[in-house]
Order: sequence, then C-alpha cells, then structure tokens
Amino acid sequence: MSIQTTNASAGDRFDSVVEVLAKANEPKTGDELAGIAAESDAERVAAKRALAGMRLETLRENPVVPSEEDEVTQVIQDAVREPIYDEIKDWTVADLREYLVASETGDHEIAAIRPGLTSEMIAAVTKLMSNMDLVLVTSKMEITARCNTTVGEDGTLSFRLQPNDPADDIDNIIDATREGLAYGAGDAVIGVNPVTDTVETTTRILEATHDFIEEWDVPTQNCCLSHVTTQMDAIREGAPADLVFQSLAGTETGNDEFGVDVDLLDEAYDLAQRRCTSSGPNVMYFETGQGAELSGDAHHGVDQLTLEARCYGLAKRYDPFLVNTVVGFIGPEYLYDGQQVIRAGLEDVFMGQLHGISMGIDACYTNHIQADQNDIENLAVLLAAAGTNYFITVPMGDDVMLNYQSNSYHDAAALWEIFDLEPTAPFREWLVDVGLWENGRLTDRAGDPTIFT
Amino acid sequence: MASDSNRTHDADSTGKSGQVDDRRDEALRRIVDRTPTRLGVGRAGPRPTTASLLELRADHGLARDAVHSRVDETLVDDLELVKLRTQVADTDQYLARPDLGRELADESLETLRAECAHAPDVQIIVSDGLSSTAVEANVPELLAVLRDGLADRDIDVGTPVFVEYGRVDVMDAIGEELEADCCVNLVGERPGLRTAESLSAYLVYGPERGLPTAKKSVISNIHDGGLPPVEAGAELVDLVAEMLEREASGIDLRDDDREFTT
Amino acid sequence: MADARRTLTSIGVDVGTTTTHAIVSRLRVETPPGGAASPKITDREIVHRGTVRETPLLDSETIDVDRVAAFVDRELEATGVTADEIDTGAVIVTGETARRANAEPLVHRLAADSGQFVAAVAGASLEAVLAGRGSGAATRAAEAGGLVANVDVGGGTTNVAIFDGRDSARDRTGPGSDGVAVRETRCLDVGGRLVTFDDRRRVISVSPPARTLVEALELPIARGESPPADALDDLAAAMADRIVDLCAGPPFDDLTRALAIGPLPDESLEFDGVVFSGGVGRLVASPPDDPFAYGDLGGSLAAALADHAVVRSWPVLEPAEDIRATVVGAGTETTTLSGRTVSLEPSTLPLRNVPVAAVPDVSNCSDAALEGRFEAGVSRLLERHDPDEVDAVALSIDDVGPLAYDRLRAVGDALVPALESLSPSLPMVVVTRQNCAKVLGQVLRRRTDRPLLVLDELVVGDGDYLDVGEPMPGGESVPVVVKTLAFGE
Repeated sequence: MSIQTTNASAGDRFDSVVEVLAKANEPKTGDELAGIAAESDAERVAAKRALAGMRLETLRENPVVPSEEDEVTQVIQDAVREPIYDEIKDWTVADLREYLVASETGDHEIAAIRPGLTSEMIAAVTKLMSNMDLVLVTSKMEITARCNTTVGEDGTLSFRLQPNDPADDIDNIIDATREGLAYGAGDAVIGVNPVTDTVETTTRILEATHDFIEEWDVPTQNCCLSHVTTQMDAIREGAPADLVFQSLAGTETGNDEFGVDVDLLDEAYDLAQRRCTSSGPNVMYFETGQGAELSGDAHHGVDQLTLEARCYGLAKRYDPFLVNTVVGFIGPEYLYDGQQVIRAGLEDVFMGQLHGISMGIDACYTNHIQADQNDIENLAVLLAAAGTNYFITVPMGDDVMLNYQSNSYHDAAALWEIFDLEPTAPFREWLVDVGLWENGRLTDRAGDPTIFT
Repeated sequence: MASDSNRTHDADSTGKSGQVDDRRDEALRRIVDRTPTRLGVGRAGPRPTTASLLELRADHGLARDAVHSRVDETLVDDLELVKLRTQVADTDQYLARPDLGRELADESLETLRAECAHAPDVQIIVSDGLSSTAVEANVPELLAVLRDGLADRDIDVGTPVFVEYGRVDVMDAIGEELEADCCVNLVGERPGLRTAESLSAYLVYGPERGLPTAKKSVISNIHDGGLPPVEAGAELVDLVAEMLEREASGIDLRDDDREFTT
Repeated sequence: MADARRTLTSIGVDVGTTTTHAIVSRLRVETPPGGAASPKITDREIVHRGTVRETPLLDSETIDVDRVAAFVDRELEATGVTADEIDTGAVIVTGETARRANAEPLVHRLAADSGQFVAAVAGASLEAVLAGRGSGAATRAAEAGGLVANVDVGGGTTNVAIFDGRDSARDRTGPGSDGVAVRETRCLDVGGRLVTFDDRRRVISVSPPARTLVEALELPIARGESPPADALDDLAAAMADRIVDLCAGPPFDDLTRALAIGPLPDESLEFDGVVFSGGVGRLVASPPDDPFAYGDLGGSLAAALADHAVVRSWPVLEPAEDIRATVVGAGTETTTLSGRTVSLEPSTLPLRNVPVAAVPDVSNCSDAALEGRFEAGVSRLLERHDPDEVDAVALSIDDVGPLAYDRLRAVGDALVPALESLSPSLPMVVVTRQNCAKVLGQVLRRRTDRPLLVLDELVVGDGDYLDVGEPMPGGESVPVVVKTLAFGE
C-alpha cells in the first residue's frame, strides 16, 4: 500500500498504515529505539496529515498486527458492532477528532459511536489531538464501574492506596494502609504489589487487607498484584480477593512474555466471577504502559501508543473495574522526560475512556528519567481536570518497594480541593463516620495512621 | 496497644488528654520506626509539611546526582583498571539508547585487543551503569576480595577493565572479543531514594553477543545496608569457581535445584 | 524470583519437675525478598500437642529414663512422624528435674533419639525465656511495644522472663532473629511440688527450698503429719510473696535472695503486662476449689497468688499456652538460621554441644591488640572444657569492627596464631553478628588448614553452647540452636 498525504509536499509518501501511525506519533524515545519514529518534525507532521485523511475503514481493514497472527487483533475485531461501524467507516480520522471535540458531542454521543471503534482508530485519533483536546474529550466521558463500590461517577475522584513493602512485611503493609486511609486515599482499591510472587505471600496479603477492611468497615476492595495464575491458585485455596489483577500487553507475543493469553484471561475472569469476595459485577484489574511490548521484543514494528490502545481493546473484553497505565515506570529509553510522560499519560487515559473502560493512572517516574515530582503533579492536575477515574497514591510519593515515585497520599485531598471533587459516596460517608471528613474537607485528625490502631 | 486502644468512632478518644496523646505518639513512633516507608510524615492542609517535602527532594537529588555524575578517574587508576567506553556519547544518550551501551566504541575495542590479556578464565568488568556512586562506594573493597579469592584458587583474572556508560550486556561483547571463559560485570544499579549506592554483579559463562538474560547469574543489592561489598566479593569467588567447574551460568547453573524454590 | 522456602519438622520435649510433655510443630522457612537477605523462620504451627504426663521417677533422685523415652516414642507414634522425619527441635530438663543425678545423660539420649538435629538443653534462664516465648508473652510485648513479664510457675521453680517489645530493644536481638528482645530473667526455687501430700493429706515430702521457708516462718509442717490448714496457707502465702518480690524488686527480701537461682537484677521495672504460665501459673486465673486436687501445694500457691494485693494490681494478660508454654517454646523457638553466605566444612556437620567463648569488644579493639583478645577467649574455653571431650569449640565475635577487607585480614592475622594451643584437628567455629562469614572464612582458610566453620547473623553469648545442623537445601544457611547446658544450678 502507498499512502499519499492530501497536502503532500515532495516525498511525503508512506508505505503502510503501521508506518503512518508510527511516524504520526508525538516524540517518544521508545519509537526511536525501535527505529520507527519520524526522522524529523516535518516528517511527523506529514504523517499526521496522512493519518488525518485516512478513513476509519482503512484502519479497520489494516490492523497493525494481522488477525491470523495475533489473538489480540481478533479480540478487537470481534468486539466491533458492525451496524455502528458501518455508520462511521467512511469518516476520516480528522472527522472523528472533530466529532469528539464538538461542543454538541457529550458522553451520550461518544457512547453512540464507541461500539464501532477499534483500538487502531482510537490510537489514530489520539495522534491528531493536542494535550488540551485530550483533556477536553476525556472530561466529557463518564465511565463507571462497580466492584464493592462504584468508581467514575460524576463529581468523584478516587485513589488506589498502594502500601507496598520491600520485604512483604504484613505489619508494614497494614501501617502504610492506615496512613493512606487517614489521608482519605483508598476508595478505588487497596492494592499491594508483592515482591515475592507466591501463593503464600499473595494469600497473606489478601487475608491481611481483607481482615483490615472488614475490621474497619472500609467501603473499598482489596487486590494483590501478583501474577494472575498465582492469584488464581490463592483464590482456589480460599484467599479473599475482591479483584483479580494482571498486566497486559497489546500483542499476543507481548502477553506471552507476561505469561498470559486470552484463554487464561478468560479462565481468570470466569473464576473471578464465581470466587471473588466482592459483589461485582466488575472484578478485574489491569495495568498497562507504553513501551512494554518493545521491552519484551514483541512490538512487531508498531509504535508504542498504538500497542497501548490495543491493551485497552483486550481489557474491554473483561469489563474491568480498574485499568491504569503505569506511565513513567518503564524508563527513559521509552518515555524520555516529563514532557513525554505527561503526553503519554493524557493519551492513555483518553484512549482507555474512549474504549469505555474505567481508566486511571499511575503518574510516576523513576530516578533515571528526566522528571521529578513536579512533572507528575502537573499530570495529576491535568488528568483530574480531564476526569480520570483514579490515581495511584503511595506514602509521601515514594514507593520503596518498586523503587519509583508516584503521587502522594496528600495529593488526593489537594485534588479534591482544587477541583471540588470527592471520593465515592460510601467511602466519603465512612470517612465522616471515622471522623476524617467534614464539610467536604479532611478534618484535623486526618493524616494520623494511629487512628486505625 | 492494638488490643485495647479506642476505636476512633468513639468521640472521647478525640480528646486532647495527655494520656491519649502519649499513646498516640508512642503508636506513631512504632509505626515510623519499623517501616522503611515514609509514614507519619504529617501534613500542612492537604499538602506535605515543608520538612517532608524537602527531604523527598533531597533524596531524589542524591539519586539524580548518582545517575549523572561520572566515576572518579583516579579511582579507576588506583584500581589499575583499563579504561574503556561504550558507543554512548553522553548520559542523555546512555539513558535513551541501551543498545549503544552494550557495545564498545571503536577505539575502546582497539584498546581492549591491545592491552587486555586474551582468553582469561574470568574477565572482570566494572561498569558505571546507572550509579557512579555505587561503583565508588563498593568496588574498591569488593574487587580486592575478589582478586585475592580467585588467586587463591588459581583462577586467572586477565586484565580487569572499567567501562564508562556500560550496560550489563557489554560483558557479552567484551567476553566474546577476548574469548574469556566467563565474565563478571559489576554494575551500578538504578538508584532508589533509600540508597544510591546499590551495586549488582552479573555473571555469564561462555559470553557471546546476544545471550539471553536467563543465561546470566546475578548477585544484587550489594551495599553497606544490604550485602556488604566484602562478603559479596567472597560470594563471587565461590560463584565464579562453580561456573567454571560446571561450565554454566544462569538457569543452566541453578535449574537443578529449582525444586527447592517451587 | 528467589523464594527458597521449606518446612522444618520440629519436636519439643520438656521433662519437668511434675510433668513431661512433647509437641511436634512445623516451622516455615522463607527467604525474604531482596537478594541479600538470609532465610528466616516465618511461621510456627503446632501439629501435635502431646498428653501431659507425670514425670516418672525411679526414686527421689533419679528420673526413669526408659519410661520418659517411651513417652516420647508414643507421642511420635501418635503424630505419625518417625524420628528420621524430625528435622530439629529441643529436649529440655526443667525445674528440679534438671538437678537429678541422671538429668544430663537423659537429655542427651533423648535428643539423639528424637530426630536428626535435636538439641539437648538445660538451664533456668533459658527455661524462663522459652516459657515466655511459648506462652505468647514475647508476642504480647511486641504488640504492646512495652515490657511484658512471663511468670512461669511450675512444680519446682518459678522462672520469670522479661520481654522488651520497644523498638529501642530491637538491636539487642540478632539481625537473623525475628524474636523479641529478652531484657532479663529472674529465677527462684519456688513451685507447687515443693510439698507433696498423700490422699489423707499427710505430708510425703518437703523439698529443701520449702524447708527454708518452713523454718523461717516456724510453721508446724513436717513429713508424715497432717499440718493445720492455716499453716499450709501461710506457707503458700510466703511462696507467693517470694514470687511477687522476685518480680517487683529490687530491693529483695533476704528469703527471696536465699531462694534465687542465679543473679538478681539491680533495677526494678514497671511492666505493661504480666503473663502467668506453667502448671501452677495456669491456675492463677481460677484456682481449684480443692487445694489438694494435685496432691501438692500447687492449688494453694495459685490461690495465694490470685489473692495477692500486688498481683491484683498487675495488668495480667491471658497466655496463649499455659502448662505447655515451655515445651512449645522448646519445640518452636530454639532453632534459628544462620546467614545465607557462610563458610562451612560440611563433613564436620552436624555439631552438637559446642562450647562458646565470647570475645568482647572486638569492634573498637586495635589491630595490634586483637591477638591477645582471641587468646584470652581460647584460654577461657580451655579452662572450662577438655578439648578431647567436645566436637568443636566456638568463638563468638559479635562485631569485628568496620566491614573492610583490611580489618578482616587483621582479624585473620590475629585469630590464626591464637588458635595454636588447640589441636589442629579440632573443628573451630567462628560466629559473628555482622554479615561477613564468607569473606572471613576466605581470609582464615588462606592462613590455616584446620577444620573451620564461620557462621554469621547470629548472636551468641559467653558460656552458651551451639548445635549446628547441615545446610538447608538449596543454600548454605545452617540451622543453629544457641542454648545453655546448666544442670544442678
């Protein structure tokens, strides 16, 4: 295939949809490392122009990884509702952008076309959107999901409490939980990443968080983020899990690197429906992040944003309660600095919500990337304005187990205050009951973990 | 304390009586003392206290400096290491291009061939990696123990080298070029906020470019608060001897006792 | 991800003044994440809680060893575990039994017969600690972050262990130990079995410590007679006074001093909790209606403690184990694990009953003065023990000073000549708290050919004994029992 831009300057020709998508991407070191990025800004804009004129049908019919080679492509293609697709297939990507940003288009109008979209279409339109475009359109969408409680409702902003410990020490995990709850964080999930991926550790963490939630009647859900098979074994042996977690990639080979495939995820979903301790119906939790496929050498020459979109296409199959990108964790060879991290964070949350999944973000950075706490606070403000469903929070922004920095427990109350938002209703009522919340603000007692001793 | 403290639903416990405050202080101190996490940091409105904020920035600053500073040249000279460099031009490129950190620059390749002993039993490599601080803090002690211990066992260490902007897998290229039986690469780890001094030792038997990670062994978390560098040096002696004897590294070396690790 | 983990099957046997019991437990061993960390025992589950039986005596001075051995065999049978399948554990003789003529051969025989690596243990202080760990007092101290005293009142002795759960005390436990620090122990020759009665309430025996009290109080209590009830009450009250005095002092009453086993402390303490355990201790919560129910003074002593004004002012906490506290401690709390990187001579393992001399204050000792320190340690070993009678000898060097290669070489240079007075074939064990066993082993082996083990991340005191087992599968870490062997105190 040869694709000519509509306003072609000399030589701006592209050989494939994959190439146009890659070159139209905003600058990312990961695409450069893969050798697929535009070589100049001029070429980048030419690719954006080519993409703007591309019909949605072209994107549907040219999935970035062929359907016969890749089950993720099959999942995405199978999910398309054909009559809706037929109505929009002649739109160009530019048409789609202008439909989304139009003042007349609200949540209802976006929902009306959603079943006709593929992940490639969503990736394509993202590449044409500016940062403010992304914030604007994300703010229109209200995607709710319910586990024990409901996240994503208008006027709410939720937080995952991430009380990791470098030795999987249960006392320390519970102390960090106490501290987070004392700041009002934790209504999305109390989710722990274990160091040791074993059934025993997973069970211990699930039991401890479950017991704590029961003892203090916290209206939230627990999760231990070990490998899905480890959680499944623990759950089969009776461990109390409200959610089942797994990291996802946007290609079959990428998921193979993660030790999962669609059959296994189907099995996990089925088990979760039957055995999770939560009331549901949304009982899955996924994490993603641009660059994961390249780092596992499973990118098929496709740019990292498009592959990220495909993660959401796969996630959608399981009606997840939570999906978040872990946006700055992967390192500077994929997202170089604060600017690239912020851009990717806005893209990911937008793409997730446009897929119709309950999307949040781990706005984070490692110590070898050109970013600091200010960058992720910027991103948090932008995404709170955009209406992301939740953020990850860790004590004082420092996760001493995963060795990276994310938003602080403190950021929850600051974002609620800036944007006049609140946690989920039952959680807010619980905060009032335990004396931590009054008149839309934290009380004087907030921030003291010994409240829960 | 846990068993008899008041639930906070109880309005009485919000009182300011000294006894309650003392017990709270003690409980808080216990929480803060036993965890490596930043707990009990307090707040100013919905923001951290100034002291907590600046402490985080200070720790991050140390970590950033460890990434961006270079290993002291005189240390490299004192340790009698041959100085090499990868194809990476500067720190920015090092961070963005891991592929270039795995191959030596042309002039370094020539230096390697000219100055380093061919076909040693073990080629010792020191790489700055992501923390020059880790190299400076640990390598002098570790290397002295390692050299003596290998000499005790008549294992020939060839000509140890230092690689600026080196990644773990630069040992594949160096080992292949020199036809070393095995390589040890001491690499500065990505700094955390708790310590910027953590070093890892990666080992490979039969080094050649492109060998998968699974074929490599590692001893990690080497620093004063983790595995002390002197003890790590002694452990490396045993591990190198075992690799040479069994002609294997990585999963080829340890797979047989995996039943223990389930 | 490294998750070296397995289970050790452990036996505990307690041959006490009045009763003998055995338990079998499973200890879960896990290697904490982080690469540098050493394996630890993370969970202790009792899988068989044996029957409490009366300790069989041949006569007042002699334990019936064969019948005790038969008890243990029967308990193992009941569990369905053979001695071959017992990995570790401890056999302890406690109370007055530790003073019987054949106590020492008894524990060694039982230890050798009960499993692969079962330690023989004796000593009132260690008994106090094991009872407090078994009763849950140590855990209570950790939970409370304060001082909790375990008062184990048995047939022959009362052993008090004071656990310090404050974080400031954490450094005193070894880095490899997850145990709660022991602040001190206080032991006393007071127990329920010091006076025994026949079914007509006539006195059968009055043990010497009881006689001390009877004489001091001029009570009409003598063998063969039925003493008046108030005389027995007075004796029980006097015993209770001694126990209270032991816990509350200093200052101590002269009678308390007369009955004390080992030294008494010179500082009095406030407790955040007190736990009673042991055969008499467990009755304090609800003394029996019939004081003669056990044919001894135990019921009266428990009642006297329960009524004691001072005891009533104490924050008494419920024990997790009462009569079995010591055996549970022996079965689940004696085995620890060395550091992950050590220097072994596998052919010498297991080693049993290795006497230890601690070399004090090495950390701030100049290189030049080291050899003298080590020589003094070796001389102490030779004074206390005949080197031909032991499997090995051990020096404990808590802190070698800065973990620098130069310092370790200086330690090696000083240590090797200091060992010259020992036979070159006698295995030498060097124990450190710091993580440096492998490098110290490398340094020492360069200087000597004698059989050598260097173990780290262990805290071992002067006069203690060590049992060292074979390495855990898949690693080098060895199970170790740090213990005392004090008979007839």
